[in-house]
Amino acid sequence: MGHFRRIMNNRKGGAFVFILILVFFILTLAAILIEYFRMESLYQQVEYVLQRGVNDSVEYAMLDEYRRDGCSRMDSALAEETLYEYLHESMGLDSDLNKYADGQWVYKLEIESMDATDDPPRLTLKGSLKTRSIFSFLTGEVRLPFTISSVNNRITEGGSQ
Amino acid sequence: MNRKHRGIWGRNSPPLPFKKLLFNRRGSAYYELIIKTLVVITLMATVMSFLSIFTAYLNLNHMCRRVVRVVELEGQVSDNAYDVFYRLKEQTGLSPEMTIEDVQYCDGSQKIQLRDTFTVTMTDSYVFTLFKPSFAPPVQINIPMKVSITGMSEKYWKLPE
Repeated sequence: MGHFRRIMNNRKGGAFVFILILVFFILTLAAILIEYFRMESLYQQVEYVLQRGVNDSVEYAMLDEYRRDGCSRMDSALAEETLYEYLHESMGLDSDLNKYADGQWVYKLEIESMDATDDPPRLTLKGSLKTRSIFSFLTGEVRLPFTISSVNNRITEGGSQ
Repeated sequence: MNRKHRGIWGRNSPPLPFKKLLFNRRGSAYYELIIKTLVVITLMATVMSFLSIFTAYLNLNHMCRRVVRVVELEGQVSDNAYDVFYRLKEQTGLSPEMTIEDVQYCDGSQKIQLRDTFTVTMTDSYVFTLFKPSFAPPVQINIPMKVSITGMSEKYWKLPE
């Protein structure tokens, strides 16, 4: 006990310990910043790709013949099917919506709801992006929620012009 | 007069007041501060001039992303895409070359079918001036920059049967 007190009261080498704490603090701060920007970039990338998929699905499922009568209508079942096809084929997700790059798990899409309406032709995808960070041992896996929607209101016939 | 009396300068010893000034240590912190400030300013100027390379690369990346988005939305390499490209060229002051690769046009035109992918590549070279001597041409390095972004058409083209 007395030995420990002596060590604590000894002011020799204080500067060295201070430098160690400072370096640790700076490295931790840098790691937090890098990790934050990495996850932000991943989230934006996935959100962009999902938005494109939702737009594609709505565009593909539009019932063009209704436009002659001045209304826009969509085959909602086809839109949902097309979106799932996009998730697997274009985004490269497996059956559980996991994304792997070079054999390494990157993220998982957790879809809470997929609402498609025929009229107005709208597809809304709600869910979250589950990913891992280097601070997972403290925070667990990170969930980043997203809501992506696409509406097509065009009533003029087109697509071949 | 022996060597000891002559000092370090020998026969060519400077006049006494100057010698006194050189060996006088008063006010040395002031000169030290001036030199340190000059060094810091030079370092900052160097870092800032290097930053311009990254800014140019980010601008090129932004240009490419914007053009890809236009092509995605239009579903074709239209005049709008070139308009955006030329406008961004003017705004950023860059003069890259744009090529569209890995693309399969449909209907023998510049149309890209829904979900078909394409790659927009922009190449440019950034001229980094190391220094500009008044008696000779400036010493410059050409840094090649290349950005490739893959997009996917969001437009469905009705093709004749």
